[in-house]
Amino acid sequence: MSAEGGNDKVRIFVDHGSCSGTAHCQQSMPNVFVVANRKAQIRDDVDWDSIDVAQLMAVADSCPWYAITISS
Amino acid sequence: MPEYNPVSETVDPPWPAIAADRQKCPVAHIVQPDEEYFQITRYDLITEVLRDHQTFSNVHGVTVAKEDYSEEEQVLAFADPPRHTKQRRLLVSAFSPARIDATAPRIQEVADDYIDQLPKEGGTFELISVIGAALPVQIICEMLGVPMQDRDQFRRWSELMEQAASLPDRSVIQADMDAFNAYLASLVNERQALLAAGGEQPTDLISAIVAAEVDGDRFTQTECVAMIRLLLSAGNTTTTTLIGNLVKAIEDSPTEKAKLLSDLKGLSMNAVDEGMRFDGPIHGLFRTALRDTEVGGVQIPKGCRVLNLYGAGSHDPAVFENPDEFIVDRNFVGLPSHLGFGLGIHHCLGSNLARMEAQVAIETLYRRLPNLRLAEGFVPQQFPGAIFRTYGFLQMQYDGPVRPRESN
Repeated sequence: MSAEGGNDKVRIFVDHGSCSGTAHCQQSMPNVFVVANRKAQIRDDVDWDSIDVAQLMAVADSCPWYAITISS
Repeated sequence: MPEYNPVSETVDPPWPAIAADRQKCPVAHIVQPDEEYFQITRYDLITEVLRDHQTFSNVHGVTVAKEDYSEEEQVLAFADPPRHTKQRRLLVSAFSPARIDATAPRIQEVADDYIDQLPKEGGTFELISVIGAALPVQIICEMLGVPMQDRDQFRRWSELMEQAASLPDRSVIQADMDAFNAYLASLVNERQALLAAGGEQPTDLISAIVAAEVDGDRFTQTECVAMIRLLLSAGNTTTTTLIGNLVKAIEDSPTEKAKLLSDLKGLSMNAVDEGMRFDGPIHGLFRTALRDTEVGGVQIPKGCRVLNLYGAGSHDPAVFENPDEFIVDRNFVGLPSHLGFGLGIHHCLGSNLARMEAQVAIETLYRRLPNLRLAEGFVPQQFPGAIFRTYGFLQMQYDGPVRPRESN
């Protein structure tokens, strides 16, 4: 687990200074996010090729702490 | 008809009636003389609504009174994107975990100051007024930059707003609300004048709101007042209720209390979260359907409101084992969030602050006051509001001598 993850098409960064462990991301995309110690982390076993980037963007937009940044 | 009706007053715990409704009618159609709405008691259905902020709006009132706010008064919990996003983005850093962690020593200092005022030799005190209400109001007023001499009046206005949340008709308190708004406007005017004059600006939250530029525009006075009013009320009485409800839950369960006291520092934050889940300050909030839709197979017409019973979701046995038990070391790892702070884009902005204040309050109370307990013969009564369930008074008793501050 880490605060960053991705492949050559999409990168995710979770700002742990803002993340409050609300778990909105985990509940929306449990295949990507997991909350541990009140911080969202990127799972180690994400199948990046199957990730729906539009859904990822929507999850980032809905984070109540604006802690998730997606770059592609 | 559902068994649970949040607007009919009862002091009994609502969980058995809610459990029955969750089984029989998780999306129940409620018909009141002045409004029909749908009441949701299942976790998965509540979260479905809270996530769908495109369909379910906050701008027609989230409390009992159905209201249509003017655009300028649509702020934070009473706003939808994109207005909500602009406002929340401005404020989110002030309530981030990093900022709240930095505030912890001050919260501890204030809590210790209140404990220091209690008789050293032991005795009784009323918890809600001594620390439950005093601590959050002092901290949020310091963050906002409210003058010291006005803080008692602020607290009274804040309590009034809490009561207003459960009132179907707010006209009875309109004069007080007008006075409150006028006072807040005067604070905003002062900051706007300072800003216009240039030079060094105060570092408080009101100044930050007044000075903030979003897409090149500043918030209007009405917007500033509405935001400050909401931050104030959300930062006070909810945390007061959290502390009161948590202490009551601890005192109701000797086994859990013993467990907590055996590892106060280690378990206090988990106990706060369990308190939020078990009997959180906000029992439920409304949303309004912006289009014809359905939830759990029940048709919700456009314009109709739904009441998301957060307390019911947090007691759903499909998510939380033994949901009607207060368990201070409940293992939340891997569980979906409890709904004590809501969910989705409107997740409580002040949740980090509330958690920290409640944790400090619980640790300080139980560490410094030997044998703290409910006063002998005192029977607590919970105000059974539709939105808030709170104890107005909690008479406590402790033995002497009061223990010193931890840093001493």
